[in-house]
Amino acid sequence: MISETILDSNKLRFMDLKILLVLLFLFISCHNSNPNQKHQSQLVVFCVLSPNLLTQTVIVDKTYGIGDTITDTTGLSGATVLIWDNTLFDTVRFIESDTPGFYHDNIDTKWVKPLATYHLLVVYDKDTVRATTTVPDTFHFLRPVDGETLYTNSLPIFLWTKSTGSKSYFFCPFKASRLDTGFILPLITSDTFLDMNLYKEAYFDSTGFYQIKNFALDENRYRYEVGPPKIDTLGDGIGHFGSQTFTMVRVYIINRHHPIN
Amino acid sequence: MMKRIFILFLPAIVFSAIIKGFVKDQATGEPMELVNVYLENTPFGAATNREGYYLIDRIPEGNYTVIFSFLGYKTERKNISVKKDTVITLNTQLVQAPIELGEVKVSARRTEFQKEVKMSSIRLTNLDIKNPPTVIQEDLFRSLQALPGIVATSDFSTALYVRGGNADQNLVLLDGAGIYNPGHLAGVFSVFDPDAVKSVELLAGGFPAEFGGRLSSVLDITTREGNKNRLDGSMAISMLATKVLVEGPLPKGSFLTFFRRTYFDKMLKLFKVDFPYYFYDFNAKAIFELSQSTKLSLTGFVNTDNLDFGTGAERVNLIWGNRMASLLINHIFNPKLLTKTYLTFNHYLYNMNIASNIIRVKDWVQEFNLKSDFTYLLSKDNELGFGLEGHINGFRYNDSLFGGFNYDIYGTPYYLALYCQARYRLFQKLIIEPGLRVEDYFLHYKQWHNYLLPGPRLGIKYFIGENTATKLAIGKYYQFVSALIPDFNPVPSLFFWVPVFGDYKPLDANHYIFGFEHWFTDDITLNLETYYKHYYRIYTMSDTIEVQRIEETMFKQGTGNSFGVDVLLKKDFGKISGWLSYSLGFAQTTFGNMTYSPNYDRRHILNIVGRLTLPKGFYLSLRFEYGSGLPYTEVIARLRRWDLSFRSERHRFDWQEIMGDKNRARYPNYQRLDLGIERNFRIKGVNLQVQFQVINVYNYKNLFFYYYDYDYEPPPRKEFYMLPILPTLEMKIDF
Repeated sequence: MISETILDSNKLRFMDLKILLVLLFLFISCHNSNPNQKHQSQLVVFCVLSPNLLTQTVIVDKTYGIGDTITDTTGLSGATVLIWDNTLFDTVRFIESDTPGFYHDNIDTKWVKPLATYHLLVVYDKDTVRATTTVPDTFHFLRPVDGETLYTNSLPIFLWTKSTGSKSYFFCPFKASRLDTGFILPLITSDTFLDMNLYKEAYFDSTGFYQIKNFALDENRYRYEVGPPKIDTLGDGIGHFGSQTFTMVRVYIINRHHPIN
Repeated sequence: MMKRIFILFLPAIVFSAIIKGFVKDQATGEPMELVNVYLENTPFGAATNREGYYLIDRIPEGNYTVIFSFLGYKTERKNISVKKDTVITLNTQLVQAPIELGEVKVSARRTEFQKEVKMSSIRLTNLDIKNPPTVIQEDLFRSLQALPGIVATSDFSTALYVRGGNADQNLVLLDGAGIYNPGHLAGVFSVFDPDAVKSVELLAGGFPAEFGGRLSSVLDITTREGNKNRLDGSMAISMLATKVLVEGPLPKGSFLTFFRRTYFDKMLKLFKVDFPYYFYDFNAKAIFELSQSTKLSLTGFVNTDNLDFGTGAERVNLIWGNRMASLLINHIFNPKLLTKTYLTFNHYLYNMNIASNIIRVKDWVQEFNLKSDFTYLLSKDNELGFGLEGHINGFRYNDSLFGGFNYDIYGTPYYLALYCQARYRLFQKLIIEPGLRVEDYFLHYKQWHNYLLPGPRLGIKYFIGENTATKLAIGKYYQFVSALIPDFNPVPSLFFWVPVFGDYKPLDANHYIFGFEHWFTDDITLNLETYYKHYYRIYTMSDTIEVQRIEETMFKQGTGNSFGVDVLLKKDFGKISGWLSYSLGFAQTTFGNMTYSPNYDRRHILNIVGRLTLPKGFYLSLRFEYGSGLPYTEVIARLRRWDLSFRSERHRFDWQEIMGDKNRARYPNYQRLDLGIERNFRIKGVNLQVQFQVINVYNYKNLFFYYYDYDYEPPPRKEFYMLPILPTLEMKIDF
C-alpha cells in the first residue's frame, strides 16, 4: 500500500512540474493593460436664466483631453449665441465679453420674465446646441418677515408662497458675515414650508444676522443640481440650460448656547 | 426501482450492536471533531461530528479494542465486550501530545476526504487563521483572502470576492446565525477574532442543500465553547487595540466571553491625527449539557463601529453594527437520528447623520430564523439529511435627505426552505451526494410577490486511487438580499442591505465545478478545481440613482459569468506548515448594453503562507501574495462643470472627469511579503506571547488608485499607494 502511494506521488511530481510550467507561462503573460482611449472634443454650454439678474450669461466651452494643456482661456471665442422666447419671437443676440467663452446680453433691463419659455441656440464651428427652459414664477416669504429676530430654541416654521412652474425649492441659509467659500448644503423641498428646528445646529450655529435665500428651480436646473453628475440637460450637447428665481429675507438669530461668533 | 430503494436503506434496517459516544479534549472539555474511532483489526469505524459524537453500527458479537486517534493527541485504547443487539455508550477524553516524527495517524481532513465529497471546501483551524502575519490584529478574513479563488482587492479591505462573485454573495454564519456586515472600518478588519473562533469552513462553491440564500459561498464559523475544566483567560495588547478573553466552567457546561476595543481615536491623537473612530466586539457563549443526548448553546454577539467628528454643518456621525443572538439545541433522538435546531435573531443597523440632520439615514435589516436540521446515520458511509428553515425578515429605510427627500421604505419578507440531502457510497470508489433545496420567498410590498424556487444540488466523488479522487458538483443557488455597493469601491463596504422587494427579483446563479484531490502524505494535499458560474440575475448599484425615485433607481439588473482554476497545495502540520495557492480567474458582467470585467476580476493570484517552528519557543511566519492588476475605468477627458453660486450668483466651476470604457484598463500587479516572528515565554506561571511582524517587507509600492491633481495644468496623474513597510508589535498574556 505504501509503495502504491509512492508511485502515485511520483506520477504527481511530473504533473506538478507541468502545472508549474503552466503557471510560469501565465505569469509571463501578465501585463498591464492601459489602453489610452482617445477622446473626441465636444461643445459644452452653460446658462441659467434668472428674472432676478440684470445681466444674463451664457458660457461656451468644450471638453478637453485629460492630458491637454489649457492655456489662459476659460472658454471658446467666436460662437453664435441666441436666446428667444415663445410668445414675442424677440431674439436676444449675446455678445462675447472680455472673458473668452463668456457671452452676455446687451440689454439694460431685466428682460427674463417669470413663466416665459425661452429657447437657446449656440453654434460653434460645426457644432450646434439647442435647449429650452421655462422660468419659474416669482414668490415670497410669508414667515419670517424681513428683519425679524428669531430664537433657536423655538424657531417658527419657515413659510413661502408657491412658485408656479417650479420643480423644487433650494433653501439656503447663509451667515451674513461669512464669505462665499466652501460648499454649503442647501435644503431641497417641493413643499412651501420647512421646520428649521431640525436643522438649526447645521445652519444657525451662532448668534448673528442670517440671509435666507430661497430658489425656485425649473426641471432642468433641478436635474442639474440633484441628479447624477452627468450634464445632459441640453438636447444635443453637453451642458445645462435652466432657470431659477429667488426670494430672500434677512433675520437676526439668537443662539443662547453660542453667542456672537 | 423498489428493489433499488430497498438496497439503499438496507444498512439501516439490519440491526446489531452499536457503539456510540462523545470525544472531548481533556484540557478544555470541548468536543473534538473528526476524531477517528475504530475497532482494531476490523473494518468498523467512524469519525466524530462537530459535536464530538460518533456512531459505529452493525458490530458482530465479540471482544474488541476501540481506538480513538487524532493527530496531536495521545491515542486512547479501550477494550470492550459487545453482545448482540446492544447499544454501548463509550465517551472519552483525549490528551494533547506533541506530534512525533513518523507518527502514523490519520488526520481529520484525511478522514473527511475518505468519507465526503467536500467540493470547494477549505477548513481552517485556529492556527491556520493566526499563522499569517497581519496588520495590527490577527484577522480571520485576512487569512481567508490567502485561499485560492478568493480575491482581495486591497490592503484596506477584508471583503471576500469568491470565484467571480461580489462581496455580498457570501453567507457568513456565526454559530448558525447569519451576519450581514462582517467588517469593521468599512471592511479594514473583520468582526471575528481568531481567539474566539474554534473552526472555520469555507465552501467556495457547489455547497450542499443545507445552505442557501447566497450565490457564491458559505463561511461557517464555529466559536469556541470555553474551558469546561478551569477558569482561564488571555489578554492581548497591540498598538491599536486590546482584547480580553475569559472562559471557564459552568454547572453542566462552560462559557466564553470575548471583548475587543480599538483605540485609534486615542493613539492617533498622539501623532496629532484626529480620527475619532473606534469599534468594539463583544461575544459571549454558554453551553449546557442537559443530558447525554441534549446540549444547549447560547451565543450573543454585538459589534459596533462609531465615527463622530465635526460640529454643526460639518458634523459626520456614523454608527453601524450587528446584534446577534442564537440558541442551538443539539439533540440525539436515538443513536442514529441527530438534530440541530437553531433559533437565531440577527439585526444589522446603519445610522448616518451628516451635517446635523441634513442627511439622516436610519436603516436596518433583521432576521428571525428557525432552522431544524436532521441527520439520519444510515451506516458508516451513508447518511440522510433533511430539514427546514424559516425566516421572518424585516427591513426599513427611514431616511431624510436635504430636508425634502423623506422616504420610509419597509417590509416584512418571509422565507421558507425545505431541503434534503443524502450521502451514499454507491460502491467503494464512488460517493454521491444528491440534494434539493426548495425556497419560497414572499413579501407584500404594494402587492404580493411570491417566488417559489427549486435548487437542485449534486456532488460526486470518484476515487482514482487510495490517495486520489476526482470530484464534481453542480448546483442552483438563489439570493434574496443584496448590498448596495458603489461601483468605485476601493474600500468596499456592506453598509446598505436591501432585501428583494418591489420589482427586484431574486438573484440566481448556477455552479459547475470539477475537481481533483491528491494526498501525497497524510498532511500534504493538492487540490485542483475548475469552475464555471453563470449568474442569471445580479444587481449592481446604479450610477444614476435619483434621490427622488430611489426605490426604483437604486439597482441595475444584469447577468454575468465567471470561470477559472484554483490550485491549493497545503501542508497541515509539522515543523513547516502552510499552503501555496494559485488562482486563475475570469469574471464578466453585463448591465444594460455594457459588458465589462467587475472591479474584482483579478486574473492571477499566487499566495504562499507558511509557519516554521524554531527551537526555544520561536515561530517564524511568512505570507507572500502576488496578484495581477485589477480593472479600472480610465479618465480620458475633463470639462469645466459650471454652476451659478446660490450665495453670490456668480459663475464658478469644478473640473469634472469624463470616463472611458468601463473597467477597460488595469492597474499594475500587486505583491507583498509579510514576515513575523513569535516567541512564547512562561514567567511565574503566566504564558506570554510576543509577536513582531513586518508588513510589506521590501516596501513594494502597491497602487491603490490613480487620481488627477487639478492644482497643476495639465493635471498630472498621481498614484495613491497601499500599505508601505509597517512593523507592528503585539503582546498576549494567558492567565
